[in-house]
Amino acid sequence: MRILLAEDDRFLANGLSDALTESGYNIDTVNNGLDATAAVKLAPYDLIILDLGLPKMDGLDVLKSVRSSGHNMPVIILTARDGLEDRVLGLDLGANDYVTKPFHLPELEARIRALLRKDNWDNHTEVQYGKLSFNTLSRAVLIDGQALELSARELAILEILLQRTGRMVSKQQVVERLSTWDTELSSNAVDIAMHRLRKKLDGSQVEIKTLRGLGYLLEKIE
Amino acid sequence: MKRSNSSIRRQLLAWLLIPLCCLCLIASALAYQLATSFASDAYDGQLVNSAAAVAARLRFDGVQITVDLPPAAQAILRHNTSDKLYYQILEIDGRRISGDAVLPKPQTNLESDKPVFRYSDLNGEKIRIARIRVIPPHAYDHPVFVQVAETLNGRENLTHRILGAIVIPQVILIVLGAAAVSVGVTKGLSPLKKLERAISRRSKLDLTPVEPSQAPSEVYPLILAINDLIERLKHDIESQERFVANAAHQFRTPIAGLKTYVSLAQRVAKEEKLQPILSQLNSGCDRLTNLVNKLLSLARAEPANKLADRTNLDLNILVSAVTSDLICEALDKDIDLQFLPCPNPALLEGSQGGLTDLTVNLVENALRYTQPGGEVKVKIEEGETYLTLAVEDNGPGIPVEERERVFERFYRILGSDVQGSGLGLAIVKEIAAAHQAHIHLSDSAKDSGTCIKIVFPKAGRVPSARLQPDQKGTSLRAAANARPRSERLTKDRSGLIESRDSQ
Repeated sequence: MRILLAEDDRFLANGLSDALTESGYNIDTVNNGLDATAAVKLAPYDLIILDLGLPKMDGLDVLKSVRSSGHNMPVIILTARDGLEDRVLGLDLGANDYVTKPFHLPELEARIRALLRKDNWDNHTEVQYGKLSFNTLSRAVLIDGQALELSARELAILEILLQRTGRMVSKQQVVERLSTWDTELSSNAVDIAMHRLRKKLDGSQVEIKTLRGLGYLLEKIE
Repeated sequence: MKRSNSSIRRQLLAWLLIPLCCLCLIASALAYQLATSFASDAYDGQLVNSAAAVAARLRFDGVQITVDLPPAAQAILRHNTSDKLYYQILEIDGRRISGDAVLPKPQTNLESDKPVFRYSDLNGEKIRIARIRVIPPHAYDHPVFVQVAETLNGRENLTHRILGAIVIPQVILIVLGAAAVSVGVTKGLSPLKKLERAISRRSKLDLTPVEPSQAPSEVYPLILAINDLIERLKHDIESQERFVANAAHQFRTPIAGLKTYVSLAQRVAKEEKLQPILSQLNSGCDRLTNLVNKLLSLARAEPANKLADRTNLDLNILVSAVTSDLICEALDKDIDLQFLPCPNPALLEGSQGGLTDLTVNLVENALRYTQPGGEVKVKIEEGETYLTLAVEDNGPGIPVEERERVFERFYRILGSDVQGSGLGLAIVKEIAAAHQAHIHLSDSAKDSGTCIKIVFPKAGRVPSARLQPDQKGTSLRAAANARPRSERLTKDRSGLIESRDSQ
């Protein structure tokens, strides 16, 4: 999951970025409003964490611009102001949730998970595909009730494929969603991870099809 | 600064009355002087006439000069005044020819042809002497002096009458003038008095400008200056509050960062020993958060902000909800937290957010200072014109001498090792003031403990004079005095506070 964090306070931004990376998210950090709008156009983010008091361009304006350019990923507003007006305005402009500073990290993460679950899994906590079952909360993968050991990268790829079962995912999309600006994933690394994942999915009645030159597709085997 | 010197009224009175009195006195003195000199002239004229009458009776028989004054003529001469009259005929060299022997001899102006007057003493009485120089008929080279003297009773009598006739009207004039001046000055200064009353009657929350339209032109600039001052004061208060609010906001982001790092550290720290340290760090962050939030709610409750979101609400419902939210904290500390609503809806016009803050702070404060196993009661009571929110605990109580100060910001009772922001009761005070409510702090009905009552005027009622916020100070001060006195005070106000026995 690739998350854009727009926060101008370097201390908080670094802390959040480290904590969320530790939880397995890919985090890009920007420290002003203009960079935030630019970043949204450059990479496919699953979620934006948006501080309202950003320099150069106010958080609410960033939100307006993101929504008007057709991006519909969930947005969590971070705010130091606890006035009702700000929250109402933010939610009305298309934010999905808000958190008042200072917040508890576990609470913020729970809100992130809830929004991603809604966006990607339609609020289901348990996704069943063939014999494969995926818990969207714990991100545990089971085949026939047996736990499947996966590396972080393999898990992330499987997650992307599970979100779009029966539809094609391009290699470029996989690369982009697994990268951050600091760690660009090589196409080769995706190939290797994909190869290992395929092997591990043996016996799950689910397979990853390669559409040569186009991308990948998760399909049930009849 | 000496107050007495700065009274305009006093200065005006002094500047008007002192010259007025002086002028009156000078005028009186001049009039008196003039009148007595005219009177004296008249008497002197009479005296000269008497002397001339005596001179007319002088005879010269070629050898010596005699005076022919028969007793009847003497009687007429001596009888016509209340004064004694003396006469004397003298040679130029001073030898007496005839008449009374007692008069002093002439000494000055011996050659003058005009009458000569002088005062003298005779047997301890003052007398006026008139002397003329005459040549008796047929005594061509033998001039003589005729001296006539009288005592001053008649003159003094007249002088006294003149004095009375001048002084009494003058005194009446001065008294009437002073009264008129005093009334005039009072009237003239009444706009200032009105201004003073208008300003002193204000509550401290009232920073609206003073109405200048009725003021006379001299007071108008003063009112403008006062309004200007109020405006600047308002601006300063607002900017100070904005500063507090901004500062509190600014704190939030770094605290969020701190908390995030602490959470992250708790998650990744492998070492067991680190966990208690990190959890201390975490609770430190939480206290900081709490403090910042309290500062913000204090800034929100400031007079200038006036808690704009006023609605009609039921105190029973609001306080019940707040108390329920705090039940977990009470359970953690094993404190019996009870809520006793009043039977009727406790309707009140107030700010939902403000009253929530107020109740949270009161109850948190009670929970914080009550020992485990203790008891905290939250009560709503209703009177005819007021609603009371009472929070009573059986904790250690607040020492009498601390009672006034616990409502100050950041004031914490020395020696209490309880963690708190020191802002809770300051918030309570601000919010109560914004609701024209009255705070009463007293001993709990139990052996120990504190009972804090917030007395609100009921919805739809104009707050009566005794519910004005400026009275709150007195009641706090009263409560800070010795206990028996505060009890008496409480009973004196029994219209406001129910007797403790009813609990």
